[in-house]
Amino acid sequence: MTDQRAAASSAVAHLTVEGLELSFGSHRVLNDVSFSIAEGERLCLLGPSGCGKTTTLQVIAGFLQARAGSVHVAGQAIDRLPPEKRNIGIMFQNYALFPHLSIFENIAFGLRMRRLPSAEIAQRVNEALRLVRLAHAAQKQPRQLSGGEQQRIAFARAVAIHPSLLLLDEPFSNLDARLRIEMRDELLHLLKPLRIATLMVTHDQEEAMAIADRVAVMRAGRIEQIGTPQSVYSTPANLFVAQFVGESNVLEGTVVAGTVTETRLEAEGLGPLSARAYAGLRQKDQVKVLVRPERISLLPAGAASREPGWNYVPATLEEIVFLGHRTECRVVAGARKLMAWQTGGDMQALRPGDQLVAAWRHDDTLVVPKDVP
Amino acid sequence: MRVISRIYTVLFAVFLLAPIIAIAGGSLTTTNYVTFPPKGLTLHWYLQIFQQRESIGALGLSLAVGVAAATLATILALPVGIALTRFKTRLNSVVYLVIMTPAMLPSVFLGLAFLVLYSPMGLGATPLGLLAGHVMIATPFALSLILVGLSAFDGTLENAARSLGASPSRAFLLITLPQISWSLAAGWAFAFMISFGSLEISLFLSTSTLVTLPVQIFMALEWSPLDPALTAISSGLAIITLVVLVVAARFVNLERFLKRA
Amino acid sequence: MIQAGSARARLQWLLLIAVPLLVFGVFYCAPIVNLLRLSFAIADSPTGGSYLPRFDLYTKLLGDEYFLEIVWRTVRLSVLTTLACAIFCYPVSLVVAQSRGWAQTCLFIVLLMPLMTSVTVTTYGWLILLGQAGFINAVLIGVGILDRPQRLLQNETAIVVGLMQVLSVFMVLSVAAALQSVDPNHVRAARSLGASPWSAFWRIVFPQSLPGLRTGSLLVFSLSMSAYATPGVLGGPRLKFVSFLIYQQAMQLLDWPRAASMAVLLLIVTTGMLGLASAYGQLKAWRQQRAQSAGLAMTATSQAGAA
Repeated sequence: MTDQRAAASSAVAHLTVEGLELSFGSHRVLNDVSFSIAEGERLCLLGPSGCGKTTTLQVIAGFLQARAGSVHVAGQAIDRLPPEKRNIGIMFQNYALFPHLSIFENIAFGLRMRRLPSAEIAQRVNEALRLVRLAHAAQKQPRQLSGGEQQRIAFARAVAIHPSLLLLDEPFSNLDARLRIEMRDELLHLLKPLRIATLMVTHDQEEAMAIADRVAVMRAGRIEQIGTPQSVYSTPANLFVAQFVGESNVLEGTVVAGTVTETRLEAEGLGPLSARAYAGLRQKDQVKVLVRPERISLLPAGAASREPGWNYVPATLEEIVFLGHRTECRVVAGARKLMAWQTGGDMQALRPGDQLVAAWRHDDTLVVPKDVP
Repeated sequence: MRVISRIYTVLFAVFLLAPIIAIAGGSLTTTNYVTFPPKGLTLHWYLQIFQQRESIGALGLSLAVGVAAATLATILALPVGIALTRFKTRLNSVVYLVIMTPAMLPSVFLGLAFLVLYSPMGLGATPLGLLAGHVMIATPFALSLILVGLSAFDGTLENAARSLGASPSRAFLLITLPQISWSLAAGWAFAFMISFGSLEISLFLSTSTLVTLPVQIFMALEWSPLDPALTAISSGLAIITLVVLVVAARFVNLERFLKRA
Repeated sequence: MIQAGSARARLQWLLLIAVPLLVFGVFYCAPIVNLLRLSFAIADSPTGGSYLPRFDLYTKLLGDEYFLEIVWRTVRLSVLTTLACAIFCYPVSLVVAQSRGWAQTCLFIVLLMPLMTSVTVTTYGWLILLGQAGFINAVLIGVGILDRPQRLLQNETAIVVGLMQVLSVFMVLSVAAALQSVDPNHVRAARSLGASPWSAFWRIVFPQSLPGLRTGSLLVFSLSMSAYATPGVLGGPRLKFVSFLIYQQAMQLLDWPRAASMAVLLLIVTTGMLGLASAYGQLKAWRQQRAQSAGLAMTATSQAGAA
């Protein structure tokens, strides 16, 4: 939690959410949710379904009332304001384009609510349409557009009102795989120059990492970790984050000794391993030891050089699956099975049964607390 | 197999429409008594309707009550529909039950109940009492159709409107209402047809001067069933109903009823 | 969907239903409660002026042979109508469930016409068709089945036919709705496993349409029990239904309390029959479950014995 408080005090926080609590009946949906977003920053709430990310969005938008906590935008408390007074642009998961209005009228809707003069409305709508490159679609009906086009219009509608905050609710879940990647890039290109504080909600970690400046991983109504995509990926705070963001091999372990430069561990079924230095670990602590599959290199058994700062474990190849962009190898090391991902073409020669050595850096050994609350 | 079931369905359709066809056909006869198939074709009896003050009066009353009852039924049903679909409370089933039961209870039961209480209320033999009874039996149908429209409506559209600056009432008027207008029209149409064709309620709430068309036809059936003029006005009733039904069918995506039930 | 937990939401809900509920309370609920009250009263005047609660009316009615005979006829013919509808409407439901576009719209219009058109018109139409000099007689004589016009009216068959015509739409639509919810992949799965089209229908589709049959039967039965004009016109003066008695008592004999108790009894009998039917359904389901668990218990013991 210290991550986000530090970020909040250093930058000018545009959106501040503090201590949100919400329950549906006896089911606690939001449990002390706090974070902030700076001007022009993109934050992503990432988590499995049911973790409370969409609920958080709805509280910020004003469609739900939190039992406790506060929401501030540009220093002003907006908790008491109804949705129509919050000036927040929302892109809904199913786009929510008004079926009976033309594209032009859809985008103009927010501007009409603000009683802008027609000339200015026309100018802003056309500007928004040009931004998403759909100027020719102004007089069409939503049902005449493809899914990707509808999404761009939904975006145009949300930004046309020049909102102080942008909320994106699972923007890509309605698109097929190929379109998803295209739209992701497109959205990023649109968002960057606009520099509006943006909160995105998704369950897809790749999207989160690609779009967000910072990622907040949520589970069961709590924020487990906030940080840049790199920091969340390389130093997960607990087992849940380590497994939700990216893949991990998980081992049980005990701390043997901790020095300034490294932590020595005894991994159950695997033997002694070393990780980087972690503050706060004591001898005999029970921990989970994690290694990401892409960090494991598979070397032939006879390879002589044992470099310092690396872990080496003898392994037998059990199964090999070629996926095109990578090869997934399952190896048996000691009493455990490890997954190792190899890229590059030199895996042709490998056969199940081959004797290998699995190797990875000390720094790539992650240590997280044993129990996830 | 498919051919057999299609033929069967056509025969069944003929069965369903047979009496109405008989009425329509019989009213065209040139003879002085109703016969089907008609002997010769003439619209004479239809023109005669306009000569008979009672028939015109009854038709006028039925149309007026029908339009008024349908409008009032729709006005009553809309807020109830919104309450039932927007808010989640156990009391909803009570409200639903209260509004829907007039369609489930025997109409003679209802007619009697209305008569017995409307009389001391001073509404006994008045158009207002008649209207009240009709509104009660028509509202369940209006509500039924409005609920279909409201359930099919995507609530996020209203949220989108509100996020763009529309107050709740503006969001409702500008976004929700246009989207459910088809179910309001359909609800009105069905409420109208129920009121227009209602017999038993009107029997209890009519007087010698306050006669709706179905009541007039029903009474006349006892004395002169083979009068072509009676047949013509009955046919007129059926035609009006058919027109409203066809227009309503254009509005409504009837498939939604199968999905919903 | 807003939970009515917050006070503001409750207030909004209340504002929405307040006026409609008030109108219904005054013009609908009050008359019904009043009618119930009236049925326990003695009539001093035609409007039942003074009230001494008595159950006399009910006991008298239940002992009145004439009344019971009419109730029995009403029930019997309603059951017949329901059965006839269930059987004859089913094939039509199949067609409706599979139809699309304007064909489906046409079917709906045809199905709804008899119901929406006033019952006076439909019964009148039957009069014309089934009369001595009517169309049906003429056809049957022309084809040679009859030599003389038969009395097709004023019997029970005419009543059932008339009721069927008006009420079919309820059965058709209920069953069609149930049929539409059947996943076509279920049928394909059955066929791929070796079932003939008939077998696939009977074992897979038909059981899933039963809830529709139940709803449809419920509707057809209740509405037949309440029928007034159709049995009145097509059955003639000898074959009365309960609704006719109620009308007669109230409007011709001006005995409102008696009419009220008849009306209440009609309601009780109708609800009672429906309750019986659903209880029967529950009993069957319960028996099935017991048989299943008994079967399981037996296999378990035999396995334990063999081990």
